[in-house]
Amino acid sequence: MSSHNSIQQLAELLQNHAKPVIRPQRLALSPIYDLDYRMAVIALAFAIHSTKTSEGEHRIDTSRLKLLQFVAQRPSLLPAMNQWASSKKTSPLLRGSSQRLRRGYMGDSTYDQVVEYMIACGILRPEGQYLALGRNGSYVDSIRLASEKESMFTQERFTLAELLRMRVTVAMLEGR
Amino acid sequence: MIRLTFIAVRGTSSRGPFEGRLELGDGVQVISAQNSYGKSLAAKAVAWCFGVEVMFGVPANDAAFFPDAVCEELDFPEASGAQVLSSECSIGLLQSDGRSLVLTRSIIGGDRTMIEVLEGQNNEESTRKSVLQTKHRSMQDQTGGFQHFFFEWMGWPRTKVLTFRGDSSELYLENLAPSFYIEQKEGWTALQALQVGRYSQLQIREIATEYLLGALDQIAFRVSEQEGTQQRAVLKEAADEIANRVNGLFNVRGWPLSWSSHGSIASVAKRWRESTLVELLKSQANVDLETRISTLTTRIEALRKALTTDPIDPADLSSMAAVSQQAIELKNERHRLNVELNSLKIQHSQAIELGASLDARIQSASDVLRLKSTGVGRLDHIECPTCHRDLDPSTFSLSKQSSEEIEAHLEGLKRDRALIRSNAANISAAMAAQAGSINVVDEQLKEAESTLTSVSDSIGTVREQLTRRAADLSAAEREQDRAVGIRREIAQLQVEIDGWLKRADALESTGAAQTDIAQRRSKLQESLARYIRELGHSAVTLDNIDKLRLDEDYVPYLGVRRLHALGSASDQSRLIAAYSLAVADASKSLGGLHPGFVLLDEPLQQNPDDEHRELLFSSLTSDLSTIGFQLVIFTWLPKTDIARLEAAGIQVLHPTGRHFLKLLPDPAITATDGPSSIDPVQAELPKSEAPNTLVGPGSDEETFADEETGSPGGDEPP
Repeated sequence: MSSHNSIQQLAELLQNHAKPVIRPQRLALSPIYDLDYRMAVIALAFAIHSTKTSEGEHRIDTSRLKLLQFVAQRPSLLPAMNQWASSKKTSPLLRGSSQRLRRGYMGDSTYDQVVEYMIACGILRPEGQYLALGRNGSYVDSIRLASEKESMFTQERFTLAELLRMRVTVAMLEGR
Repeated sequence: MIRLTFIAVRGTSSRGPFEGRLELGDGVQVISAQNSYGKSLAAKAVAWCFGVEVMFGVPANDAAFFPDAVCEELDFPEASGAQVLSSECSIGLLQSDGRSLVLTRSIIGGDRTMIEVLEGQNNEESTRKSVLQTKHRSMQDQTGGFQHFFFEWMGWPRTKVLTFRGDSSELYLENLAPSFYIEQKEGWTALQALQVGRYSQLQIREIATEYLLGALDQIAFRVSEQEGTQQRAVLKEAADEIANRVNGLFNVRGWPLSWSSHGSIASVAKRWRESTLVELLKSQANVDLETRISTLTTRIEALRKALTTDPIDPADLSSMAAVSQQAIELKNERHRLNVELNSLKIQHSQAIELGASLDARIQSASDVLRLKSTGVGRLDHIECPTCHRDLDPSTFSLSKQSSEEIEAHLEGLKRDRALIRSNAANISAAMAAQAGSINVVDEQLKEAESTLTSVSDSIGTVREQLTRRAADLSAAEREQDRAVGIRREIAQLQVEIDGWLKRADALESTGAAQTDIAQRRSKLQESLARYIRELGHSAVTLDNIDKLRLDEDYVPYLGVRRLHALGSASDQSRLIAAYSLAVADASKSLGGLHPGFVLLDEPLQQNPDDEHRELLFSSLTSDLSTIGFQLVIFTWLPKTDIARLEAAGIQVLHPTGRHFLKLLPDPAITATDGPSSIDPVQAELPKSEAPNTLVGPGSDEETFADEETGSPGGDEPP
C-alpha cells in the first residue's frame, strides 16, 4: 500500500512540476564487473600465489584462487580473513564471519565466467582442481610487471601480499 | 652606473712584500692568463672587497674561499715557500658622474670585519677615508655599516623583503651580486647559482632581478602580496581558533550548532556576517539567553519569597514525591541521551568504514581507467583455440566497460565519498553536542539527587518543604550564574568575531597594483634573445627564437620547455652568460639599478673547443664590443686570439710570469709590516711606477690626495 502511495506521489510530482534528471554516474556499473579488471586481479592473484610443481609449472587451486581474488577486490575483508585464518570463533551473523565470507566468494559467479573466458583465451588451463598457465600465459606476467612499473592495483597487490602471510586451509575453503 | 678601475692584492711574506694588480678600463676587458696564474684570486678579491663572501657558502668574514696561496704560502720565482704574514685586497670603483671609491679589506693579519673606504669626489683632489664594518647588521647600521654606505653611495634605495619565518628582512648586496658576478665553479651551474638561501628571504631571485631592472613598484607589490598571503594564513588560523572555542562552548551546553571556519577568508567572513552568535542560538537551537536569565531571575525571586515569607502548609506531602520524580525523569533523560550517543557512535564508525571502502573503490576504479587508457596487458586478438573464431566476452555473460563509463562511475564514487565525509563530520558534531547534553543532564541529576537526599533526611512536612524550596533556590541561582557566564563568554567571542571580520575586510580591500613590470620583462626578454643568439646557444635558432620567453619568475623558456633543460651541456654556461649580460643591458636601457659591470670568471672553462671559443670571439668583436657597461672576463686565450681581439679594439690583459702576485723589490718595507701599514691611496700608482701592474690601452686610472694625511696619493710605492 505504501509502495503504491509512493508511486502515486511520484506520478503526481512528474505530472505537475518535477523535472527528471538523469545522472549517468548513477547508471554506470562499478568497474568490479569489468572484464579487464577481473582478469587483472585474477592474473595478479595467480602470479603472487601460484606454486611451482616438480615439473616447473605454475599452478593454483581453483577454490583458493576464487577466495584470493574475492578478498583482493575487497581489502576491507582482510581483518575478517585474518581472524578466520587465526581460527578465532566469530558469530556467524557478524559481517566478515567465515560463513558469510564463504557465502560471498562461493556466490561470485562472475569469477567462474571470467576463468572460463581466460581458459578460452588460452591464458589459463584447467588441470583437475588446479589452474595452470595456458599458451597465452604471458598475459599474467605482463599484468604483474606493468602494474608494478606503473604503480597500478597497489591495494589489490597489497591485499594479495598480506594473504600470503595467512594460512588458507582446505577447511577454510570449505567454509568450516 | 659604476665600473671597476683596478683589482689589487698585496701583503707581506717571510721573503718580503708582494703585490699583484690589474688595471681595468671601459667596455669589454679580457684578462687572459694561464691556469693557476691567480685569475680566480683576483676575481674573488672583488667579492671580498664588496663583503659578499656569504654567497660562496662560507660564514661572513671567513676568507676560506680564497686560494691557499694568499692565505698561507706563496711560491715566487725567486723565493719558493714564502710564508704569508699578512694580505689584503683592494678594488677601485668609478661612478659615471666622476665619483670614485677604493675599497680595501684585510684577508689575513688584519680585521676582516672592516672595510676601508676611500671616497673621491668629482674632479677634486680631496678624498675621505672611513672604516666601515661588514659584520652583522651592516645594512642597518646607519653610521658604520658598509652596505648602508654603499647603497647610499650607489643611490640604491633600501628594499624590504619578507622571510619564510614571516618577519621582515632587506635586499642585500649579496642578493644582487649573483646576477653580475659569475664565479668560476658554482656560478656556471644555474642562474643566480650563488644566490644566498640561508637568509630565508621569500622569492629573492625574482626580487633581485626586479631590483636590477629598476622595478621597485613591482617589488613593493610582490612584498605586499606576500604579506597578504601571510596575513591570510594568520587570519585563517585565528578563524579556526575562534570557531573551535565557539563550538566547544556550544558542545559543552549540548547545543547542536556548528560555527564553521571552513573555506576561504571571504566565504568565512560572509558566513559569519549572516548572524551573530546570539541570533544563531535563538534561531537554530531555540536558546534565548536573555529570556532565560530573566525567567531565572523571576523564579529566584519567587523561590526566595516562598522560602522566607510565604506560608507553609503542614499537610502538604508532595515535596518528597516531586523531588523523587524529578530525579527519575532526569535519569530517564540521561539514559535516552546515552542510547542516542551510542547509536551515533555506531553510525560514525560505519561512516568511517564506508569512507575507507569508497577510497579503495575509487583507487581501483582509477587503476582500471589507467588500464583502459594504457592498454597494459591487453590481448589484441582473442580467438578460440579449437575453432579459431573470435571470442566475444558476451558469450560468457561478461562485459567490458568503456573509459567513459568508468569515468562516470568514478565521478559518482567521489560524490558519494564527499557525502559520506560530510555525513561523518556531521555525526561527529552531533556526538559532541550529545556528550554536552549528557553533561548538562548529569549536573542537573547530581543536584536533583542531592535535593532528594536532603528532603528525605528532613523530618516533618514543613522541613521537607523548606529544604526543597532552599535546594530549588540554590539550583536556580547556580543556573542563573551559569547562564550569565555563558552570556559573557558569548559576548566576548562575538567581540573577537567582529574584530576578525574587520581584519578580513581590511585584507580583502587591498587591490591589485598597476606596475610596468610587463614592459621591463619584455625588455629583458629582448636582450636575452639577442645575447643568447650572439653567444650561440644550440637550442635557440632563428626559426624558434620568437618562442623564447621569460615566465613570471624570470626563468627562460623556449616554447613550453625550460631553456635550462635544452641544448648541450656546454650551452648551460652560454645561457648564464647571456642572462647576466641581458640583465645589465636591459637595466641600462630602462634606467635600472644594475651596478654597471659584469664579471665572468672562466666562461670558456666548460667548452674549450675551437667552435665555442670562436662563438665567444665573434660576439666579443661584434655586438659585445659596443655594450654600454663594463664586462670583465677572466679566461685563457692563445696568442692568435689575443691579437684578433686587440685588433678589434678589445682590451686584453695578458700578463707574463707564473703568478699574479709578485715579490716587490723595495727593501724598505720589512717582512713584519702588516697590511694596515699599506695605504690604499699609495697603492694608486701611476702606470709606469706600479710594480707588476697590468695596464690596458683603455684604462682610466684615478689618483687621489689623502686629506687626512696630506700626502699625495700615488706618488710613492707601497
